[in-house]
Parts: sequence; C-alpha cells; structure tokens
Amino acid sequence: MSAPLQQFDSKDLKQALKAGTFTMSLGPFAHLVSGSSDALLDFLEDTYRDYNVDLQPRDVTEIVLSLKAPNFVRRFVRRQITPDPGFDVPAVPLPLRMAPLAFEMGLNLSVALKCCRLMTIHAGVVADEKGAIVMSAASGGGKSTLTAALMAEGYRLFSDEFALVDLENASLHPYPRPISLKQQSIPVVRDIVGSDQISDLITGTPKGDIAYCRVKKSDLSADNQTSHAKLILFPRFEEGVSPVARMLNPAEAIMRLIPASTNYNLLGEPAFNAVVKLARNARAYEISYGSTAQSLRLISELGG
Amino acid sequence: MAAGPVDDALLWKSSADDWVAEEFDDTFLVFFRPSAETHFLNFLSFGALRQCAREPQNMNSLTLNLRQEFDIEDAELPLSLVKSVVEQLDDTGLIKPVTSK
Repeated sequence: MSAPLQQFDSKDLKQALKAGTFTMSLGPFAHLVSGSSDALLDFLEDTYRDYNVDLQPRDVTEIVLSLKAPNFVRRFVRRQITPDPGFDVPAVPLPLRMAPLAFEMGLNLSVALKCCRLMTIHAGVVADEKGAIVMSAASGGGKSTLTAALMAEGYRLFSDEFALVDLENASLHPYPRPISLKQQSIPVVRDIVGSDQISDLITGTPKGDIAYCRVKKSDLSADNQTSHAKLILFPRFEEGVSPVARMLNPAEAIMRLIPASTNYNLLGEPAFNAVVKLARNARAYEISYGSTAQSLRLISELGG
Repeated sequence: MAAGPVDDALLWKSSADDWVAEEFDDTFLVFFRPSAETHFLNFLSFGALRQCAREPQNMNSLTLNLRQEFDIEDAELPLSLVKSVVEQLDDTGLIKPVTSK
C-alpha cells in the first residue's frame, strides 16, 4: 500500500531498500530502488519524506536503480557507492556519504538513457494555470536557480532536469524531484526559499558542494497533471550583464532543443513531430541576465 | 553523394517519401528519414529540394526553375549559387545524383 515515505518506520524502509522492494511512483515513472547505505536512507527520509512510496514491488517498474559498491573491496575499505541503472553508465564511484548524489545521478541517467515513450530534453520546467515554461541551458547557465526561484514565485515544479514531452500531443509531464543546487546557487536559492527548504550540504563532490531544494507537497500531488508549453527560454546568467531578451524563430528554438534532448536521435520522426508541436504553440526567447531578480522580471514581462 | 565535382550532366533527385518538412516563416526544418537527421534549410535550399523531388533535373534546369519559382533575376541567382546549394544538399543526402530520369 503506497503512502508518504515519512509514514513508514525507518527499519522497514531500510529493509525494503536492502531487499530491493522499495518502490516510488512519480509522474510518468515507477522506480524500484535498492541500496543499503544509511546516507541514502537519511536523504530519502529528509528530502523525499512527502513522496508516495511502497515497500512492495509493483508489477511494472520502468526505472530500476541499484546503489552499490563498485567492487567487493569498496564495501569495506574506504567505502564507495555507484549507481547501477541496469546498463553501463559512465558513473564515477563516490564516497559512501555521497549516496544522495549517486541516487540522483542514477535516476537522471535512467530517465535520460532509458526512457523511450517520451521525448526527454535537458531543461527545467515550471508551470502555472496558463501553461509551462521550458528553460534549456548549459550546465552553469542558471537553470536550477531560475527553476527554484520560479517555484518560490508560485509556479508548479515539473522538473529542474527534464522536459518530458509527450510524443502524441507535445504536452509536458511533471517529474518533480528535488532541485539540484551547486556551489554559488545554494545561498542564492536559500535566500529565496528559506533554509528549511534546503537539504543538508554535501561537500567536496565532483560537482563541488551540492544541496537539494525540497519540492512542495502540492506539486507532488499534481504529478499527473500535464501542461502545454507557453514559453521556451534559453537562459544565460552572466555576472553584471543588463537583462535582455531576444525572440527566436521557432525553427531556431527547435534546433537548440534537439541537441539538448537525450533521446531525439533514438526516437527519430515522432520526436521531430513532438518538438515541432511544442515550439509552434510557444514563444521562444534567449534571455541574458545578471541576477535572479532580473530574470524573474524579464520572464514576467515576456508573459511568464 | 557525388563521387567527384558536381557535373552539369548529372541529374539531381530527391524522394519526397524520405523526408518531412515543417515551415517557419522563410525557413524550413526537414527531418530526413534515412539518416534521422534534422536539417535547417532557408527558402532557396528548400526550394531546390522540392524541385528535385518533383522531377530529377540538371543544374541548369534547376537554376532556371528556381529563378522562375521565386521570381528572381538571373544576376541574383547565379548558377554558382545553385551549385553551392546542391553540393550542400548532396552532402546531407537529401538529394542524390542520377544519370537518367
């Protein structure tokens, strides 16, 4: 029987994780997770406390993620952990205390490389009642900070990692997992959303210091409510620049979204049709800004 | 792709079944089924592609047909420009050379 994670006893959760029967359904995916790390359990009990989970496996799970030591020795000596999504991935083994990062990376790799029924675009997505805003940016472009800031403004979080585009009608599917914050973005987002919405800091990871921004309960309960894109943004944060927006021809927007997709080439023509529909129904802009406040004003002016 | 330099005697052909196109103002996105690649074409390149899908044609015919289709003066659309477009389309595989219709 599925229930919010915080309603389960730690001992039962630990046992289910160890036995590989821990199931979490979120948005379009059912996940089956296994792992025996205390750091993983602590992270789940903290950051995923409001997510619906089940301690019995479901008949069908799309994402199967195992978090385990990279080899026998690393189970005991200078203990390490690595995500195993069931296929070879270029994941660096991490110290055991970084299990939350291994978990999040493992889920991202699973969605990016395994999902075939939705087009996946590396992008942050939020939505209000008028439609969704898709934000596609290179790493360090300020996508996660902007996503968290818009969430604090009242937008519903879909994802800070993936735009999941329906192949039939180009609607966007929510997949509201905690927002991954790196380095300088952590204090910025903490100031916006408040300290109680940010997880403990994980220091010294290959990505620098990281923390996760919690997801609102209301966004979790709306994880099956799709939306259509109204704005497609290509944001670029640059210290000190004046805010500016340049409207893009939909064709140019599409040619920028295609390389940001992890499965466009795999899906082929259905993905082409979906991304065309996505862009035809939205306005696309490249935006540059020097602060989060500027970006929020700019997005509001663009009809966000 | 043509094995050597583009030859005036060659006919250029495209199979409309191989691609799907979407127009955005004066630009076109073309999804090419055999390669699963998406190409960004301006109106002239897409015009050339469409002409070659209608009927295989040599460089001279293609140039004349494009001038007529877009109502462009000879000087504005020289043969050399069409040759360059054809070479680029040939590189993508969207058109291919044939020796007869």
